[in-house]
Order: sequence, then C-alpha cells, then structure tokens
Amino acid sequence: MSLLIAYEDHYCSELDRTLRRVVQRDGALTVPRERHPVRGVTNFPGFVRTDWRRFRDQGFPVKGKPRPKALICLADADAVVAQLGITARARPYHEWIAQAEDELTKLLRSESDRPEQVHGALLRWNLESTLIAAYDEPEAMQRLAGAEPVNAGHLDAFLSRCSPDPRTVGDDAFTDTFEDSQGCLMALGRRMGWRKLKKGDPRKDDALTWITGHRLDKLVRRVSDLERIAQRVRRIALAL
Amino acid sequence: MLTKLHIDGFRLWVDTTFTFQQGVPTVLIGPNGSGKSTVLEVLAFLSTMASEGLRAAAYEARGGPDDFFRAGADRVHLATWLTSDPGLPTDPDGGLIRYEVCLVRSRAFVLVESESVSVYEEDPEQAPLHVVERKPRLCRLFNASAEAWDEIRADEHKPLFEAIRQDEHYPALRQVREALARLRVYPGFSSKPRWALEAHERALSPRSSIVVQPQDALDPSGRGLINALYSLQQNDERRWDYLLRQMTGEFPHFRGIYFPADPGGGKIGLEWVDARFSGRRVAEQMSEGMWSFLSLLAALLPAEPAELIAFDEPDVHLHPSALRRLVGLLEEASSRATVVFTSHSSRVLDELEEPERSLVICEPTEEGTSVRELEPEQAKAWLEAYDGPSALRERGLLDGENRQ
Repeated sequence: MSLLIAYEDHYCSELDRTLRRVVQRDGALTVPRERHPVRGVTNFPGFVRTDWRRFRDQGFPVKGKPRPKALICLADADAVVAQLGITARARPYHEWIAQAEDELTKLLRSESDRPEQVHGALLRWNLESTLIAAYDEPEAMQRLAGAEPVNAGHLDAFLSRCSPDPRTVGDDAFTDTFEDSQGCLMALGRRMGWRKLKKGDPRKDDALTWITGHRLDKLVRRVSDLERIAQRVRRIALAL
Repeated sequence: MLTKLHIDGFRLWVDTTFTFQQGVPTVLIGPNGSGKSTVLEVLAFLSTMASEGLRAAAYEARGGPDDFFRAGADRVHLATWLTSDPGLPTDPDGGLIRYEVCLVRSRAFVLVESESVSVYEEDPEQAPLHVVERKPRLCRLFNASAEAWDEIRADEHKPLFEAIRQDEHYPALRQVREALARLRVYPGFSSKPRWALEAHERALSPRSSIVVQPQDALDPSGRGLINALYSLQQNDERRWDYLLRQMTGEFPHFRGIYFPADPGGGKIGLEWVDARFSGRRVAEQMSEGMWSFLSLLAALLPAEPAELIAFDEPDVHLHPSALRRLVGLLEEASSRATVVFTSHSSRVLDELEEPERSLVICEPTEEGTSVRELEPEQAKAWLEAYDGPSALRERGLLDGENRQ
C-alpha cells in the first residue's frame, strides 16, 4: 500500500521533493508515497470523486507502485478561500489554518465513498513562500535571476524598502508576515530586473532545489507549514 | 538584433515579410512542407554570404540557382532590418539598418542585380539615409571619411560588403557584413554517439578529441562543441556557471565537465561526472538528449553577441519534462538576441510565456506558402479560454493540416 499526495500545481515535483526531505528528517518512512498534480485547486473535488477512486481501486498504470490507501490533497492556503469557499483567513493564522484544513478535509470527504481515506492540507501561502524565504541566500537568488548576475546593492535596497524589512522579522513569523508571497516575489524580480518568473519557471525549481539541499533547516523555520504537513504525512502513513 | 526579414523568390516563399518579436522567441509552426525550415535557410544563406561570400552561399552550400530559386522565377529578393543595442559593433549609438539584395539567375550563375543599405537615424517612419545604392554594376556609396558620394563599378558576382573592404570609408558595409555574419542558424546538432554513425562519419564525431582553438560561438552543426564549451569555461566564469546549473537542473546526477588534454598534445577531449558513478565518464557515455541539451546551451550562451539565434526543432531528442527548461532558456536568450525556432511540439507551444506574440503560422497554399500571424488580443482570449496553444491546435484554430 502507499500514500498519494495530490498537488494543485502542475509543476509540483520540486515542492514534493522538498516535502519528502522534510518528512525524512525524522527518520526513514517505509510507506511509499506518490505524487499527482490536479491542475488547480478547484479540481480537487472532482479528482477525489473520480481519479482518486481509480488510483485506489485499480492502482497505477505502471508496475512496482502499490495501490494507495490514503490521499492527501495539498492546496495553497491563498487559493482555497476564494475558489473553494473556505472561511476567510483571519489572525492568528495558526488557528485559521487548522480550521481551514478541517473545512477542506470535510469538503473533500463529501466527494468520496471512503471519506476516512481523504485528507486536506494547506501550505501557507504557496510555493512562492518557500522562495522568498531564501531572500538572504545569494545562491538561491542567483538561481532565480537566471543568467544575469544578482546585484547585491539592488537586493539590499529592495529589502530595506519592504514593510517590514524581512531582516527584522523572526523566522517563526516570516510566513505570516509576508502573506502575499507571489506579490513579494514579483516585486523582487521587478526591482532586480529579472526576466518575469512565470508559472512553472525552471528558475523556481532550481532555487527550491538549492534551498532544500543547502538550507532546509532555515526553510522549515520560516515556512513552518512544511514541518506541520510532514508530521501529518508521517501520521497518516504510519496508520496505514 | 534582426527585427524583420523579407523573402521573395527563395524556394516556396513569395513576397513575405516576417516580423521577429523582441523579448520573446518567434516560433514558426505549420505542417511539413510549409516553409518553416526555409526561413532558417534564408537566414543561413545571408550569414554564409556575409562570412564566406556569395560563392560559398550560392554554390558550395547549395549548388547554384536551381537549388534555391523559386521554380520558374529568375530573381530572389531578400531584405533585413537590423537594430542593435548601443555599444554593440553593429551601431555604437543604436539604430536601424535595412539591407536589401536582389539576386538574379544568369544561366547557371547567380549575380547581384541590385543592393542597398539604408540607415534610419532615429524613427523608422522617417525617410532613410541611403548610404549604398547599386544598380547592378554601378554603385553609389556614401564615403564617411570624405563625407561625399563615390561612384564605383562593382563585380556582379559579389555583394558589395564582400567586394569592398574599405571599412574606414564605408562603415555601413562593415556593419551589415558583421551583423549578418552574426545570424547564427542551427539546423540540427550532430549529437549521435560513435556507435550510431556510419564509418565515414566517425572521424567527424563532435565527441572526439579536437584541436584546441578559441571558438566564440558554436558552429551550425555543433561539431566544435568541445571547443565552444572550453572557450566559455576559460573566458566567462559567470555564464559557464549558469550552463552547469542548467545541466544540473535538468539532469540531477550531472556534476561537471572536464577537458582533459589528449596525450598526443594539441587536442582536448570532454569528460563529465555523474554522481552515481565514481570517476569521470567519457563523452561517448553521454546520452544523445544530454548532448543535444549541452549543444543548445552552448549555442544560447555565446561569448560573442549574436544578432539572431535560430534553431530547427530544438526539442528533438528531449523528454517532455525538459521542454519547460528549453523554452525558458530560449525566452531568456531572447532578451539578448532575436530568437527564432521551428517546432511541431504542442508541448513546446504550451510552455511559451506569450504564445500570442511568439507564434507565426506557415501555411501551404496553391502558390507556395504564406505566413499568418496571430491577432494578439483575440488570440490571448482564446488561449486563456482553452488553456494553451495545444488545445487550440487540436480544434484546428492554429496551424492547419497538409490538405488541399
């Protein structure tokens, strides 16, 4: 048996790799995990209703992958309110996220004939949160920049003009402080003169690969949902 | 950068002007036989004519007028619009240069019938300053040193920038020659390992050791890849690092490239590191997809700036998962040079940032072939509604089939 993690983003491979690394920090997990993109948060209910049943009852189309017995639908926390009707975000966010995950799980379970197999999880706020969390890592910034060199002076000036300056924000408050992470990344790119970072841009993959490989502890401190989701993955996997 | 190209009488093309977008790649799509590769051939023709002369372009590479003149036609008219960033050799102040040439068939020969170079100082809408006019043997050239017009009789077998090398007097000819020589066209990389080559091809394998020499840009077939990579490593640390990052990003086990000296001296080879194995691996052990990707990177990161970089089906040999990075690289390069490529891959089209600006459709017609650009605003709305170009293509709303 295995655990299937469904991501809303088509380009989910690097985030999945990061999550795997976080899960494995507490020791190897023997239950296999597979990933599957659903292309948009609004596709989760339909995925649970049809595709998930196919995964569960028929298995994967290739050999060597055991049938999944549990499903975690991982959505961006910034998308579920508007697109799935989850209660609007409110501070303190750690309380809201618990409530929102419960609502998401309830919504998804209503689509399944085996509701106990289905779980909803939320990442504050999206993939971009993991990228802006590396604002002080030149190697990660270089990967976002692409071929052109990163101007340290421009980066410093940009950070100074942020409200608040991220260098003055504690790691544990980082994600909740910069909740418009997509906007932050776009503003950073504009200020630095980078070519527009489009959806699924390989530069995002390269940056996240570097962060995961070299600064995983810092990433988990700043994007604490990664650890929370990893613990949930472990709990669900161990209960199978 | 090359911003426009006019073709009339070259193979299937009749009186057609291509506008190449700046900041995004131009992607030529259309069924087989619709003239996509011919557009690249025209660019290669101009580049060869500028770097090696008309003889090389018309006879050595093509075998004379029957090879490339439109059937029944006795003229080929080509025009280019070149713009450059300030500081580049084309024009230190920036600007727009139009170069036109009309070639005629004279039995088995190709002659230059007319030629002109027009410089637009600021606004392309304003009247140009004609600095070269030729009809067909008598030429008027503006002499920049004397600030006067010269009249010269010219050899009909050569374009003026080939025949006249007095660059200090006629700098516009030098600018055109150098700019056209920097049109880099890659019709397909030589990437097969030796075992897949015929016996007579093995000596030319790009994976073999090569006499070391500086190479500022990859040659069209990619046979000089090792020298191009070695030159990049030696001369541009930042771009070399970027190339290695791209390789590692696409091939996670890839760890680096080395250029060991050949024991016989004078030559270098290529070795690379795969994290799964100890020691270095020889070039022959690199997959065709990896070699092609490496060739693409070398072509896109030349030490010397290019006016245009063009590829014929650059997605060949690449897994669909690599196409996202390929398109990203082509888009990135389009900020430095005009980028043009052909593709049949719907997946490639779906990865484009602005398909409504990038896509140009080549269509076979009763007369030959024609070009159709997208209506940007309407195309954008359709693309959003149907989630990308491949869905439009499936519904017959982009390039059609090869049917009468």
